[in-house]
Amino acid sequence: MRLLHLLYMFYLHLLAHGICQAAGLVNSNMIQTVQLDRLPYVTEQLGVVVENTDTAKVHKTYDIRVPPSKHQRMASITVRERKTGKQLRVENPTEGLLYRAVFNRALAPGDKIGLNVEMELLGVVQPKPSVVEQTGDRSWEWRDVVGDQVYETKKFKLVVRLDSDAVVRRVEGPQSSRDKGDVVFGPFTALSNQTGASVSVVFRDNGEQMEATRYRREYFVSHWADDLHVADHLDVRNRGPMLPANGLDKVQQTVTAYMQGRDNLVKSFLAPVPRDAREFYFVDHIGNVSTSALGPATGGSRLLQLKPRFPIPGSWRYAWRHGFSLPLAKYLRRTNDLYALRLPFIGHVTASATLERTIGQKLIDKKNTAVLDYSLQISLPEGAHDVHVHLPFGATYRVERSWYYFDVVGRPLIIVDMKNVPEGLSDAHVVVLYRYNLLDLWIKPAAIAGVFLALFALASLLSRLELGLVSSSSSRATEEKEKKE
Amino acid sequence: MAQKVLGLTAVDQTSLLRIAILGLISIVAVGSRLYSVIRFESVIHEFDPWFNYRTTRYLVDNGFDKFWNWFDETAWYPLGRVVGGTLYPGIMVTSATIYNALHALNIPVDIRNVCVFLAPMFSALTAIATYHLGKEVKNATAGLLAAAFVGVAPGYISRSVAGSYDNEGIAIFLLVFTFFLWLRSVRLGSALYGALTAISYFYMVSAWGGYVFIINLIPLHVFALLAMGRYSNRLYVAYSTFYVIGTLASMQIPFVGFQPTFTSEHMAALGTFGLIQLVAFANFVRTLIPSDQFRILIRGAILGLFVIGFGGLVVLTMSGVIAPWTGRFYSLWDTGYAKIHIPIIASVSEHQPTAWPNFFFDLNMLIWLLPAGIYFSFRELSDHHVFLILYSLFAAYFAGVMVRLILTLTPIVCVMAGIAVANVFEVYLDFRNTRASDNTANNATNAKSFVNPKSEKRVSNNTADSELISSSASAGEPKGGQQQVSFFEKPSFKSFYAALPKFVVIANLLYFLCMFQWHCSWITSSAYSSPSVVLASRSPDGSQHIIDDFREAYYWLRMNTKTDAKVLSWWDYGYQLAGMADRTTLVDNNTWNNTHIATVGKILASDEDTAYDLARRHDVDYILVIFGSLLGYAGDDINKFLWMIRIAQGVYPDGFKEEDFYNSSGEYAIGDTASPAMRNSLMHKLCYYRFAEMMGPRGFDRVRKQKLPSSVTLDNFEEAFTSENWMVRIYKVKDLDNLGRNHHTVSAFEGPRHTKNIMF
Repeated sequence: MRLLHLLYMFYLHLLAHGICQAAGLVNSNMIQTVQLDRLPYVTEQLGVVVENTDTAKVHKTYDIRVPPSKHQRMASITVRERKTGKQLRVENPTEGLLYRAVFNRALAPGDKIGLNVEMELLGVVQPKPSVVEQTGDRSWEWRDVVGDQVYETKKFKLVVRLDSDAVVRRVEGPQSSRDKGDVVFGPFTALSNQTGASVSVVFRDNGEQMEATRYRREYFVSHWADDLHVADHLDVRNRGPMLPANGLDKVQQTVTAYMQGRDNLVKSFLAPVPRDAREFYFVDHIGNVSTSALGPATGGSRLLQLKPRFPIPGSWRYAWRHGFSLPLAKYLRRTNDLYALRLPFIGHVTASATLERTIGQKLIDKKNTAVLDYSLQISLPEGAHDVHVHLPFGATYRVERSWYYFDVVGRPLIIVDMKNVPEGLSDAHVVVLYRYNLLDLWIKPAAIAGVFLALFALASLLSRLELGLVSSSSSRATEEKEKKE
Repeated sequence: MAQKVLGLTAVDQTSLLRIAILGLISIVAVGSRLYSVIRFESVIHEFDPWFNYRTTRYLVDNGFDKFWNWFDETAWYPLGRVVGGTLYPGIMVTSATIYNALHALNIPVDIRNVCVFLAPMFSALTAIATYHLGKEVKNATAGLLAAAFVGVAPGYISRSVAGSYDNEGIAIFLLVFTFFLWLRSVRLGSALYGALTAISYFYMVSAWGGYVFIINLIPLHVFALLAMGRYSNRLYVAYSTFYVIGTLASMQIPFVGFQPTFTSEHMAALGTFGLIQLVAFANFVRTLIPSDQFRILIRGAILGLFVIGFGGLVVLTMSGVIAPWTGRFYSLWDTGYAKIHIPIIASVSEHQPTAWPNFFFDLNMLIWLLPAGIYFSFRELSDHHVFLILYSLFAAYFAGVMVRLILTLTPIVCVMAGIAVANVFEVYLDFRNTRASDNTANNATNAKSFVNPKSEKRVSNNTADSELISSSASAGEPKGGQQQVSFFEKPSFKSFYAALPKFVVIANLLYFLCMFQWHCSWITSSAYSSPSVVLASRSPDGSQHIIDDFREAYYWLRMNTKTDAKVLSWWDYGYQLAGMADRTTLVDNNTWNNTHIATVGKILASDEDTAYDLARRHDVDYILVIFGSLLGYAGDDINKFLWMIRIAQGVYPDGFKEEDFYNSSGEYAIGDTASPAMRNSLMHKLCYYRFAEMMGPRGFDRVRKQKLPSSVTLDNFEEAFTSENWMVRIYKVKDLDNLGRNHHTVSAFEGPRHTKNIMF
């Protein structure tokens, strides 16, 4: 049995690495659409009609191979049945490059099913050329390999969809054509002939592309202060092309700023915050960065502008922490001693090459920082128990115990870790349920009062202790007598 | 009998009042040191504090054992530094202990905040220690006044504002506390207090190199008392206990080690220890021989031993058995010594002799209360007062020689001022005497009225007096049908007249005290609360503009260079680079290796090719210079450059001369009028590279008020980063060319990178 399992796993690995193709299922028609209009996020959609060509065998699953270059950068993969729109369960049996979608109903011999596979990838386009002058245009290259499928594909078309501002500079690959703003490869009727053919599109796009190599958001809940404190720790890198010799041209920067020109330096980060946010701060490893500003409230939010210590050209890094407080009542609901806390899963940070604070909301929505490694930490009040967390996606969480100011028994700390955060999660919320009664609320004041009382008692006791051979009152009397003398 | 208030007796009320006053003084002491945090932020200041902060972090993160054995390979590259053995660990251990204690109580403060607020907290303790010292030598009034003075005196605040995380922050408290314990042990002859003095001294040794002041002043006090014939068993017990325990304890600090046994700075203490043993022995002998003979014997013996001891010290020092005084101590006797022999010491601004206005600036009215305090001390001249006078004289001398030593002068000035003002208060605030004298005066007047006939003859000589007396006589008579009493004869007027001078004096003194407080707050706010890491300027509308170039550049290094990158800069910025940029440096503020510093000076003063060779030989990746021409920041590297040249010249005399950097008119110029050596020096090039392009054709250097160089070429180094206001410029040392060409050839072939962008 164990041997069979090992053989099966070996077979899966062969499939995953494209060394062999599975028999039985056939992609009778496949259209791959690559969307490059929300960089650094890239969405790949596979519209595929799957046919069971076996005469007797029933198929329950559909395999999708993800090459290593994409797998490292993949944020999410979803498979839906085209007709019903129902989402299929996706497994990753080898915990590697092969994903397996499980059909809601088995695919009988001769049957067909339409599937929509959607993959979200972070930062798969690379600057081309990798070194550009400070004020030069930035070009990016998207590159892929055609026909990298588990099953035989009879008909295939690849569409690369660019942003309306982007300008195509170079296209490489078989049967390429232009359709309005899109670049189309194919359609290929016999894909096996094209298997392994590489395709690439180089296009100009001067939008900023930031990625956060580390992002930690911390929530601190305080019932006493009616305060929800939010702290964001970010470590970001500009994905743009490097400067020549990787050195900043200060004269050029000054001249460009004077002429109100454009350059490739990120000069501020814009983070929408709730309009009732207060007590802002913006610090890094070595202290305050005293260059933040808060925009006027529009709708339910305001724009927090954070100007880093130095401008950030391509390949440069910057790390900081910013935070603010919110009224807890707006995020907390209570039923008896059961509390429900609803919090945004992640913050939204847009890099900007200008110092203007009035950037269009659409642009801010569109240009988010890609988060490669994310950690969410929610610190509940001391004494909170029966903690349950509802996450809107397939992530897992753990609860640890932490100690904060004057904590006695510690407080629950919910931790959610995630690699390659999908863009859609910036609107998602986490709901935390916990129980917290009146006694729990009084743990800390009671403990502090107890400590003070104990100290007072100790001091009182010590002051009454006679440690000397002569009683202090009599020795004082003697001293006074000596003084008089 | 005194009335009870809230169930407290008069004694308890006074105690409570004292505690309350001390509490308020502590609050003011801490509060006035927080300007820097309010104006700027909770940040570590200046240079040395960054080293202390970094080592404290290391201690907190890695534990005491690792800290004690820490070899820092990122400092003094490639030599490294044995950190654990070359520092005074007191301040780090104190902060780490506070940090750990707070964390044990689940108060998760940041270690930075512990470090930032350590000096203000200790200043409150200093005030309390000064109170006890003042109380020990005079009374509680003097103690409270001294505490109030030391709490706000700018001379001490200059080194203890929030963020000034340096040894002096805790050392001044220890200095005062040690002296208080010493005086108490002398008064009581208590071995316990002697041991406590030693423990406090040990803490001081662990905290600051200024402990040498204690280990010389206390023996001097003992010696002076012996010379004055004031030997007592109390003194013997106090000093013997203190010296033995204190010296053994101090030797546990690796940086001090066996120095107490062989260095000149510690010999006075050892000699005095030997002397007091002899005196004690002599006292024992005194009980056996007649006193007249003994007196002659003892004086002769003391003199003889002093001469022999001092002579022996000189001989042993000259023969090298006892280590000679270090350079910094020599410069205490000869202020011109350092400039000639050790330019690196002379180059530090805080080692300069003090300008006279500094005393008023840092101590205000206290400086003229000091002689008054000395006068009052001479009037009483107990053992304590001998100590105070000695402390005053020596500290005043040292403060005059080296500006930073105003710090050690401040506590004694405060104590002396406390004594002086307390004496004034004793006389002028005591209105009981006034009333008593009124009564006495009245009685006397009445008496005169009775003896009037007898004194008539004398009185008749003076009409005014006779009037006075006649009116006085009438004043003695009952009212109604008797003579009217004039206004000037009324007891109330007399009482007022007697109290008036007191009111005037007290009002004046209060005015001065208020002005003192005003002065202290103003000085603290305007002069001593700038972190110097962050600068601030004021716009015409009064709004503050923060200039944060240092941190901008350091943070750039931290974020965007390899973690093992080596950064060359003048030694002033070594600690900041290590602390903020977290990168390897060649030299830092420890200045232990003059040759290495001279090498850095040579690199910066040499021409581009020589500098390039030297820089590559030392694995330098980046060179950082501070350049103030855009903002008019005068503390930049061009202004420090002459010191770099002098220091380099001291070690490499054949390379270049200071004179080469003056132009034909003998001026230290920049730009086209500079001497060839100056123009070609790396420092000049790194500072002015492309600066003229930014400033335009009519641009000039705002610090030196000179025209900018018309052309600066730089081939071996490339600009990596320049901060917002051009204050920090960082250059990368180019790698060798792949084709083996020199960089001048490469530049000539490729053309300058930036030419096409130049506007002007």
